[in-house]
Amino acid sequence: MVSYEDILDQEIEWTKEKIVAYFRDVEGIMPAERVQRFAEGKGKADKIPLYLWLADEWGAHYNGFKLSEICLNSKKLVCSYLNLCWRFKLEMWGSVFPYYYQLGPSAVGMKIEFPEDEPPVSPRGVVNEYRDIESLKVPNMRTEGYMPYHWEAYRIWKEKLSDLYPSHSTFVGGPFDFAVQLRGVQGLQLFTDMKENRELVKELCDFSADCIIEMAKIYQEYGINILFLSEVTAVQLSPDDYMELEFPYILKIRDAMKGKAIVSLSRQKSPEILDRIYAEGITLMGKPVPMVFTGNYYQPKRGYFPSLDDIMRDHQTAQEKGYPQNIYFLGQWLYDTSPGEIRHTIARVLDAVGPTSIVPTSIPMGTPVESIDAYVEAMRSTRWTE
Amino acid sequence: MAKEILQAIKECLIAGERTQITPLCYEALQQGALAYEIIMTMNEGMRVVGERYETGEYFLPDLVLGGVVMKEAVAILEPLLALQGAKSRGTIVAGSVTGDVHDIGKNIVIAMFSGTGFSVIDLGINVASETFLEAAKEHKADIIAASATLSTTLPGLREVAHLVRDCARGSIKVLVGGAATTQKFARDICADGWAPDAPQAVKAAESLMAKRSGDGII
Repeated sequence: MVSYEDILDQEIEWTKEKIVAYFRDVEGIMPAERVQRFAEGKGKADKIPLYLWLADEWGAHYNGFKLSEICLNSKKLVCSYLNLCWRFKLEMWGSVFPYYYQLGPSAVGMKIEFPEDEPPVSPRGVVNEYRDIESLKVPNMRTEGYMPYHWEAYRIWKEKLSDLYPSHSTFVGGPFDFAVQLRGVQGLQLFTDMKENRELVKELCDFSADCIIEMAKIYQEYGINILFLSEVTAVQLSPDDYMELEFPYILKIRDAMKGKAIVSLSRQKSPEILDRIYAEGITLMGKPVPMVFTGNYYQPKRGYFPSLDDIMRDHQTAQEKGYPQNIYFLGQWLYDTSPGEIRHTIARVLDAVGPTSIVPTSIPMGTPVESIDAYVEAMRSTRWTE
Repeated sequence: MAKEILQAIKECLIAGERTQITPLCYEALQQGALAYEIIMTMNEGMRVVGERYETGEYFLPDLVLGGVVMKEAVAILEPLLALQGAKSRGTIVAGSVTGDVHDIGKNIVIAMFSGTGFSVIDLGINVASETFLEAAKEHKADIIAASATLSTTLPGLREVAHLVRDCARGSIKVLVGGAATTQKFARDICADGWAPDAPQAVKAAESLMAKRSGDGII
């Protein structure tokens, strides 16, 4: 009798076969080769390679899964993301567990609740009293909490898909954000601690960095050498607080990774801070990464979206300094924007800066498929040449 | 003397000094200050915090701390308001909509509503649209303040706005906010007001109270 797990295995195999056949016979170039040529700027006129980063929630619904199913069944996660790759003919793998901010802290003992079809939540942290920190120990990141689901997904990807979709990067919550989870994200207790017990904050961030280092070692076993340190909370810190409560622990992770790359997704705009970050080699492939951000939260005086002038300026800096030229629209841009606006914006940006990777991250459930199609079509309409 | 203590309370709030606020409130009360006066003073402090946040001088931790300080003080002062005959500026029923379990932003907004003289009924998180309406009718609320942090919970806001439009149009105003919302979305669902953050939420509530008979989004 064929089990459901076997059916999922077959689905992965067959979807992969369809993708391989499509790229081989229709596109005439395999995904990895297109990525490589685009990165090196070599080759004939071709399409800009695409991926849909953090689209797992959307992928779950597209494939008829509840969100809790892809959180707790690694095969369903991989299967649903692979179907996205097929649906939109993507060239890159961008699947990450929807609760990646909570994964590491779960190994430390933080409970995660998985409502059937809502994003996972953690009602409480694990450091409820200051004295709790004394009993914290860096856990076995291979076996504790929900980490086994995570590693199982990477095992499936590595065994079955890494030849089609090589991947070198993943998202991990940065040290301050890891600490926020440990202390309890619902009340943002760590913000109060910053005022009342700064040493505790530093201790927690230091502990968090140790946990992330342990995770990084396992990522490296899977060939993942680039960690994008996500900073959804740390980006809210003042520049001084950022340099005191986040940056030293990023450096600690960097040093422990011994030359492998880590990228801080800092949205700090202060030139001095950016220079420090770049100077310390917090980089992608040895080069600093200029990123253009937008958030789904209100930033007074800054608006919701970077202006074309901002994008142009960042891009010019990237060209002058020889940085990789990726533009990331963070937040839930595809969700919030109409297909017409998406086409218009992509066309304007590509027209202004030339063929460039534009990545809209976070594609939640409920994002209209027309919006994703609009993004893909707009990106595909631009060719790049050597 | 009371004036000096009130000034100290204001500065305490601006600086986010939680440990000082309780003794200062008791001291002010002993010196003859009314609970309402203290709350209005804190309101001034919170306005400064909000302004500094808007201009980029303060950051989110400062805003959160301001809310925490204010909440602690309001817990002491609120029971005294009725005894001292202070009049509420209006009643607000507040909560996060169905499916939304985030309470950080909501709590900050509620602390600021309370601190600025509004009576607030906190319905908590994951609140059904019918519950918003029932609570608003029960407490004769002027405003329903509903928040959605995740885009997946935006339909809950639409439900609240439409339910109020259908069942209590004119008598109850709907103010929406939360990380997932935009002014455009608020307009689309016919909400009466939208606020991107806590200081703006207070301003929006004040405007709604001032223009209760007016139409259109603020």
